[in-house]
Amino acid sequence: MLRFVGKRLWNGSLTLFALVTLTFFVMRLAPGGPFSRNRKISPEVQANIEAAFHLDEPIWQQFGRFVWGLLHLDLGPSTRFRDYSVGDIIASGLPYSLTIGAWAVLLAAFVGIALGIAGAMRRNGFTDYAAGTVGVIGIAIPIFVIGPVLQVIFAVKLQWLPVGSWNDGWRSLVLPVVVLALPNIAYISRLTRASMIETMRENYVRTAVAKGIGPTRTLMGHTLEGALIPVIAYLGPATAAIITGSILIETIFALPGIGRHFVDAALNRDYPLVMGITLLYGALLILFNIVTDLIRAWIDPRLRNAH
Amino acid sequence: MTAETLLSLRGLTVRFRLPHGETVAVDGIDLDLAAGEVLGIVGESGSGKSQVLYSLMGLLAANGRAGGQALFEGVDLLSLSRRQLDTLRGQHISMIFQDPMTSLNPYRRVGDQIAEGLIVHEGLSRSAAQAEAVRMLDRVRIPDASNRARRFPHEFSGGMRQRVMIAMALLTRPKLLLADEPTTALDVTIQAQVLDLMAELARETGTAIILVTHDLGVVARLCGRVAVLYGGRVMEEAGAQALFSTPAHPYTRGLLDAMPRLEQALTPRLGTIPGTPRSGGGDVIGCPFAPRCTERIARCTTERPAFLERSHLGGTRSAACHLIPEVAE
Amino acid sequence: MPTDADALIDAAPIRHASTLELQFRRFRNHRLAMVSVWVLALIVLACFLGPFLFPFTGQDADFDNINAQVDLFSAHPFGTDDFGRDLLVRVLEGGQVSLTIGFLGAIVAGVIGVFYGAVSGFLGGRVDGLMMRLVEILFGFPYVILVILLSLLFGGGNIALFAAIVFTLWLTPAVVVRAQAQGLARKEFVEAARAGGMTGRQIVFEHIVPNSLSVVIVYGSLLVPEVILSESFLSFLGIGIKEPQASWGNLIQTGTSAMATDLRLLLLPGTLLAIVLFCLNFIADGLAEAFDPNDR
Repeated sequence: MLRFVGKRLWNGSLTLFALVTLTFFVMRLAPGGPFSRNRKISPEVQANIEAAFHLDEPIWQQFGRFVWGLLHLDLGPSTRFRDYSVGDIIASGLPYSLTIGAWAVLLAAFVGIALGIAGAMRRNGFTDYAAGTVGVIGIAIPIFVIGPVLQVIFAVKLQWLPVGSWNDGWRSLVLPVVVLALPNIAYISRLTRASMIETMRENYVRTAVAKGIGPTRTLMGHTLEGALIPVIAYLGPATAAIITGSILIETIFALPGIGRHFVDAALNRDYPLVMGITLLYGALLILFNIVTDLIRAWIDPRLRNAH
Repeated sequence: MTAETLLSLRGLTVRFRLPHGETVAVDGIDLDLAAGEVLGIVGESGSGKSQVLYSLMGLLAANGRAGGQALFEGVDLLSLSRRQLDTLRGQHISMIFQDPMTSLNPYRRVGDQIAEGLIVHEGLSRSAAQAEAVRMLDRVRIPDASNRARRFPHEFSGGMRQRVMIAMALLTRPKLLLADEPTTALDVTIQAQVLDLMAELARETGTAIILVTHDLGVVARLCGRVAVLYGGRVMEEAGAQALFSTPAHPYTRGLLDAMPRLEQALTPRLGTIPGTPRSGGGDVIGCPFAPRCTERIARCTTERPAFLERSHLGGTRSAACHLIPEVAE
Repeated sequence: MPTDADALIDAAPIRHASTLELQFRRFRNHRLAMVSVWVLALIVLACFLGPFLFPFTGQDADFDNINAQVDLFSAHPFGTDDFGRDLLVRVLEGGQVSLTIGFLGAIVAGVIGVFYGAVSGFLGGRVDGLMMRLVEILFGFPYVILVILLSLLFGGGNIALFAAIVFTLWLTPAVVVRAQAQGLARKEFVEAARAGGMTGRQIVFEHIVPNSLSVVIVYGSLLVPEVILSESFLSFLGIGIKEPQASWGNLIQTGTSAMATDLRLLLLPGTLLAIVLFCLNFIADGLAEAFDPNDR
């Protein structure tokens, strides 16, 4: 097991290195630079600033400097917010993104799995249709449409919840979390339903029914384990995607998370900050994939032996 | 129905709803089974033989419906709710399935799966049920049983898995064991071994068996009585000895002719039954075997032959054929 | 001289065409999917022909009617924005952009994925390992980051956006088709083709690709809404299609900034986008059901 995790971590760091390398060169090759938009400063001053950030060096040298810094866990100062290091900016934004992401994942997994099971157990019943409707809405209406609509209803008209920002305790969390969870509730409930129906056709579930152990025990002890494996496989990458997907949520609800920082940094060619957030997102994705594989191996003994 | 009758099927039917109409899988079957008896049900694929067992266990597919009566110790299994059925199946009626490779839960330890029935039906503690499970694994000759009980199904061979299924089925000392082609999926070399084990253990616990198979050799070895199914109906039912020595129904004769025998040289060639086996379809007016029957008369296609006792042909025997006289001539 | 192998090679595509026909017949029986096809067709027609019915384009400002409200019988049925531009025409023109990128993007991403997957699955061995390693690495990239970076690299604008979306979405069809191709490469008729002297390239084009069609159609139909969603997502963030050119994404973005006072700027493009995505999802569902009878 330890060897498996070690191997995955090693592969993961290779992928991560490929990711930051690609990001590095894409950013430098993209037209424009961190200070090219600023027309107020004279060319000499701009050259001085660029020299201070080593932007005047050949690109290979810059890359070497970057990798050297990476090995020391130092990504340098942001070119846009010059008084802050990349680490500071990420550390200030990450708690917001993680809080919203974690609640959204929990909500999506809980509601999605429950709806999926209910739909599969009573196929074509009321719950099934209700869950199906939620699923279609969640998948078809993008969150940048449903988010603003909910803002208008619950914040502007009813005034139950704040429109955005982070000044109102748990009430600030409700709308962002629900909106972020919605498409995932849809995917997870569909996936759970399909996987449940497939598992209920398995011979070993028939064996369990024949044992006369009752519907609850059959579901909890036999059907669910097999049915949840694809759901768990989906949840790992989805968790990473939900946390990165908060880019939209943070924009819509004016939250100070890292997602919005990333978009701004990319648009302003804030090289160090883009690199930092890319690294973080990539690491999250790899981490959640490894955790997913571990959980799957824990459930499925056949996988356990394969490793 | 005598005092010792365990199971009594009366006009049992199984129908499936399909997108284009209905198909009849089992078409009015009458059979009786005494306690401790071993009854073989033989027939070609699609003769409805497995569906008979599924209907008794409440395991028909969602689009299937059973009709008629299936009295188990006087209780009609078909009229029971799922909850009522759960007090019988797994405890007094057990089933062994065709494919041992997929019939065990791959995610749970073998011992846990065997013990589960005891915990639910007899209220045993987990550890007591586990101990019983190990004892049972030992009886089905799984080597190193206490260790093996902690293993997962994928660590067992096909033959061993089927022995696990047998242990699971006989653990509660059921009165009736339904075996649905239990050895078809197994290696030929171990088929006899597994069957003998099943029969031996059932004898010890006094369990009656309905053994569904298409293998006449298996039937000859294990069964006291045999019912021959075709097109969802019983063609002939008799003691195994009598059926093999003096088959009365043209279909039974066809089946036996198609079976190789040691004492005969292979000349003349093995017989074949012309045509293709009937499977599914709607209701039939006459005899389902009529289209393939070489002895067919006009009545066969217009009138359903009654399933009647014909004791004058030797032993207790019933058959459904217009050609067999109802009384001795 | 015709041999048995030739007969087999000829037989395979014919059998395939008939199942494809059967599957489309099943699809036509799927009522929701058929309704969606018609609704979608109507929206496509409206987007591409509708603007011609108006004497102005979506970029012409009508300074006499700034922020005009909904009045179905006026010159501007759904009103104008705060530059006096006609909202309906802008939404229809935005639809042209979104729909074109959606369908073209799905086709291009699908074609790239299909051939990559077919070649990889058919060749197998070390080439397959290498090709799939690349896919794995790209899958390891957070989607949002990849698409934002690529659209920056290609310099912004419509082509850059298109390229970035295609580049991020060809991976799934590649993996699906590879699995299919691996199965097919072991099938008898492919063996027969190989025995009959067909080259690897001929086999890929004449057997692997056509026989993967049903899987490709099902997954391809899911690609279209994904591409449309990506486009509007990026445009919403200000990275994709930029003003004054309209797209559903940037129209919705404009709408959200005014939503507290004037919902119509948000609702018109938002509803249209949602309807299109609904339709595309229902069509994808219908196709999946028609092509996979086990999944009733």
